[in-house]
Amino acid sequence: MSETPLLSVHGLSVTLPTGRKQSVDAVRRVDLTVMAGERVGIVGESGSGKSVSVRAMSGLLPESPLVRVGGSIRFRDTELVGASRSVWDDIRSKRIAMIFQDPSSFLNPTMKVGRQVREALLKGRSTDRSWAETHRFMTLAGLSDPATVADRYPFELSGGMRQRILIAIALAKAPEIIIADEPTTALDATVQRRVLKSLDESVSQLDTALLLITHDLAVVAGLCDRVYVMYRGEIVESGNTDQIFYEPQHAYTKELLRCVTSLSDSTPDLYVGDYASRR
Amino acid sequence: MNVHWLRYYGRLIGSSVLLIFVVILVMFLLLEIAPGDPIQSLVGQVPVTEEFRRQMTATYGLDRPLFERFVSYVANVATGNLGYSFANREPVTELILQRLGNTLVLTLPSLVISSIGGILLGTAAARTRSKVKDGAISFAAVAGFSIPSFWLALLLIMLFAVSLGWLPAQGMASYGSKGLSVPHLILPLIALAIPELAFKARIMRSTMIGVLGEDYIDTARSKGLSSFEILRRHGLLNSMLPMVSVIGYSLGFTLAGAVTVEKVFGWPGMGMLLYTSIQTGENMVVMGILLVVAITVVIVNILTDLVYGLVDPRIRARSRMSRGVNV
Amino acid sequence: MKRTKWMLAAAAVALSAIVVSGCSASSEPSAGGDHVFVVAIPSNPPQFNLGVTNDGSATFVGRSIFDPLVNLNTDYEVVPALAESWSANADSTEFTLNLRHGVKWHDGTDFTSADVKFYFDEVIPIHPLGAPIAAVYDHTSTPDDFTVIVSLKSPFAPFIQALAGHMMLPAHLYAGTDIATNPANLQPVGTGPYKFTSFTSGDSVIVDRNEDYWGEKGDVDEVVYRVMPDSNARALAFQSGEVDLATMLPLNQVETLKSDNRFAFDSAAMAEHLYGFFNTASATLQNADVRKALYHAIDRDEIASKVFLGTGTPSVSPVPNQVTWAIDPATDYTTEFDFDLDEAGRMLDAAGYPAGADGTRFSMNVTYRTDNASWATTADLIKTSFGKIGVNVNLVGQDTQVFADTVYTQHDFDFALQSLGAYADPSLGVARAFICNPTNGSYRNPTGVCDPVIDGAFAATAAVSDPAARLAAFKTAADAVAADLGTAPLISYNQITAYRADKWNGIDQFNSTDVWTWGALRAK
Repeated sequence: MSETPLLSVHGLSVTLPTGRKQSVDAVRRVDLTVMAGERVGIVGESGSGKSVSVRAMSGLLPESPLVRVGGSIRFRDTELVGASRSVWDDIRSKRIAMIFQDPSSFLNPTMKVGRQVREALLKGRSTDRSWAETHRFMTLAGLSDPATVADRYPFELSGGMRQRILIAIALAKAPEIIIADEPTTALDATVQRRVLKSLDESVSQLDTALLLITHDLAVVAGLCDRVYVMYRGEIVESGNTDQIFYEPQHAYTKELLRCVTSLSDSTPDLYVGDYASRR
Repeated sequence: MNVHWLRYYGRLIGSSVLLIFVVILVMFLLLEIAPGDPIQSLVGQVPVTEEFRRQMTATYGLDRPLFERFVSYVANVATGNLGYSFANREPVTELILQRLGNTLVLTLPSLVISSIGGILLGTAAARTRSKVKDGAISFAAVAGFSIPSFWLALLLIMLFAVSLGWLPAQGMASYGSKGLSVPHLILPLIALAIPELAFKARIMRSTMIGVLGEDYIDTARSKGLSSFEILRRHGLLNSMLPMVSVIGYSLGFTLAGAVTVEKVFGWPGMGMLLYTSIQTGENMVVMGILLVVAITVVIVNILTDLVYGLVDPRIRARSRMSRGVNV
Repeated sequence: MKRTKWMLAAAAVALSAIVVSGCSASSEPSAGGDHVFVVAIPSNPPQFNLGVTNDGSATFVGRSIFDPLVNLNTDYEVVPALAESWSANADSTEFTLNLRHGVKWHDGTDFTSADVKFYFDEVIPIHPLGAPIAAVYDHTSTPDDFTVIVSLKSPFAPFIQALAGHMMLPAHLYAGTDIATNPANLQPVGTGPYKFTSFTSGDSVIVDRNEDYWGEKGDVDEVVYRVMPDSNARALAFQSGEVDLATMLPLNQVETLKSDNRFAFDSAAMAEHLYGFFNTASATLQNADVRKALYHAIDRDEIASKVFLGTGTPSVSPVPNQVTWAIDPATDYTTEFDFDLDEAGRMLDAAGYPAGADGTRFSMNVTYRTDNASWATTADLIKTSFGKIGVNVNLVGQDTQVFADTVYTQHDFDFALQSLGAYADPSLGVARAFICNPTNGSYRNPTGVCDPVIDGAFAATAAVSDPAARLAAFKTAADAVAADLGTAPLISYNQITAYRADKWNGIDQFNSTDVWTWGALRAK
């Protein structure tokens, strides 16, 4: 691991408005680091503040004076809290990629998916801006016939294929880190597995860092080096994946683990990919 | 192009023809019970002599039963004959055709200007983060939409024709010259387009605000697209769906608005003809114009359907499937 | 990119729409001549045959193309036109007209007695205003090309007056055709000072000076009649200098325009009369004393000053004030029915309508037409005034067509306001507002009053030619009307003509006759 982290977050807090006068502290004093090429998971139940945290890191919180972000988010040497539009444009187009939860709503319904991938390519770090390159990223995301798929509209594709398009969009920028916010939650179990496999493989191939947000510890187990556990807007526990799995400290983490094991008969139904077996 | 395609459009045209028939029936009955005596109108505000009334009644078959007149009217309409104008001593079809062009040179540019202007202004209001700018545009839109068009028209004449003397106040060309002059077009066009533009800007603003709140806009933002690129590539087309309907409907409103505007500007179009004909109880002409407007609206609705498909691939696919074509 | 193309296409459509509409533009000056005179007309003339249409705008245009046999001046005197002189037999049953020599139709054909005979035989029976003559007409004989002898079945004293406004039509184009649908109705051929040049429906009519005109020729080479339906916009167009002459302007606009010394105003020759019709079938108003009390309660001086802005005066008799020869000095409704609310109250008390506990006696409708703001204001003043004596008024404003239906056909009104033209002779235009109307004809007396005394008196005004005898008959009619008071004469006025005094001389003389005297117009 290199000395300076790729992404370091210190004392991050986000206040969101809940009405004209009221507001809620959605995220409090979050500290988090991701090293270059590292895979980090954030787990927590819905509403724990994990999505808000990563939206703050990718600059996708609503632009409103009522949304207040405190603390520090540094990407390499660039401070992102309060950064200018041009800094954010560079970060978003070339450094940080996002994969969102619901592939049905995060794709423009009236634009062919190939063009949506290509937009990311054109803005990103890649110097090859050909359609072939666009198709290559689609293949990398697990789409077998990219030329045909590229000519389709989102509604003509299955949920899994749409999620792969979102992954391809993220990959096409050739970013330094991909933040995946519940990337497979909306998919059914078998599709989920295959999509995760694609994500796993493509991240490996590009040597990109991954920040994976999920409520599902099972997903994290096979993919991530380190895990942060978030509860009610705060990080309650962090450590190596194995450590969290086998020696959970916090009561909430234990509770989460119990949920995972109770879903299957005996052993946790974990995603085990190439990465996990390599580790 | 196959049987399914033909069946789809055959059904569409069939239902349109039925709709037009119902429109004729309803208008015929409404005008029948509306007060107004065409023979009296012919004479003006003086007593009608019995001889005159007898002659006109016989000449134009006004003594025939309602049903008979309706049947012969429908039969005539089917052949493009919209009846005969008492006062003008001219076939209604010819009378309308003389005026239709003049109305179109006013309404079509107005439709285009108000649509493009409304889309641009509404988009500007939706994307601006300046409360003042958004407020100003919204206020102007409400004001522009609420302003009575005759009042706006008079205001424009007072300002640009009387006070400044820049533009002519009446008519569509200088005396003695045929056709149309651009200076004559400007004020009526503004008077006709402003309320429409304001309305479309309001619709566009709220639609665009909705679209900009969609998830796929976040995807676009995460790609590092500038806000203008987001607007142009992802916002605009997705906001166009409601706008296509609004623009389609607005043609009807524009044609209606032309009545007032044409009257105030002495513009020799169909609207002025309608106004005059209502004043003089020329029911055949009123029927004819309303029918032309109704047919226009029906045609525009069909066009709207087609444009919907152009804008939204989902609808395109659906109608492809309903036509039995494999995707 | 595809989106860019789309935007470009939209912009191109917008531009081409504008450019295409501009392409057909041609703003060369009119080809006519140096002096163009622009008249604003309030509606699109349906056609120009004044034998079958009485349309106001068609009349404006037709009267520069056609000539009448006789004309009428502001003093209500008959002056020669196509007929140079005339005479009548002693009992007013035979009239001899001596026609002007050397008059030609615009197509070069001679104007002769045959044209006049054709007019009496074929046009008068279907002419909108032909009824008074048609009722007494027997036959016409033409001893030579320039003499016409008209024989009547019964005496009709105002025969010559009744001819004013009847514009002669060319027999050689109309004889043996359907007069109502003859193509010449849209391509009129007359003998008048201007020849028809072109008509653009809804826009304008252009006529050019008839260089062979029999009468005096004016400076105006070309007259352009422009259709300007909106009265306010018409006033503004006049103010902006686009128009040389405009009529039927809103009176409040006239007040504004008066301060500009480019403009001058003149009264039209024809008298107009605003009437109030009482519905005698209404439960309350069937009592003549109630009607008289209400007549007392109308402040006509206030209406004259506030609504007519001094261009009208309270009427003193059934005949409008301008027609002085037909009003006996002893008749004066402004003293007989002076504005006196106390008197009105006493009369209503006596008639059995005392004020109730809340001060109200009864409620009634006042129905008026919405085509002219003056009538709404008048109705409003009446409502206020009636309110002061405990009579509640509901104002009912109606469109022209609806008003005609409600008032004349359905008789669904209490008190209705209607202005009617007086025409050349009061027995033609005035009598209709007072005499019995059993067929419920429109624009005739809708009150339900059928008084043989009134009918007889008005018939007598038409049957005798001796001025003293006619005056006596009008006096009898005025007294009978005052006794019954179905129709209450309210205001006598003239339409106001606005014109450009800075550009033209001689407008007063031009406007001094019912049919304009174009020869009097001189450019400054």
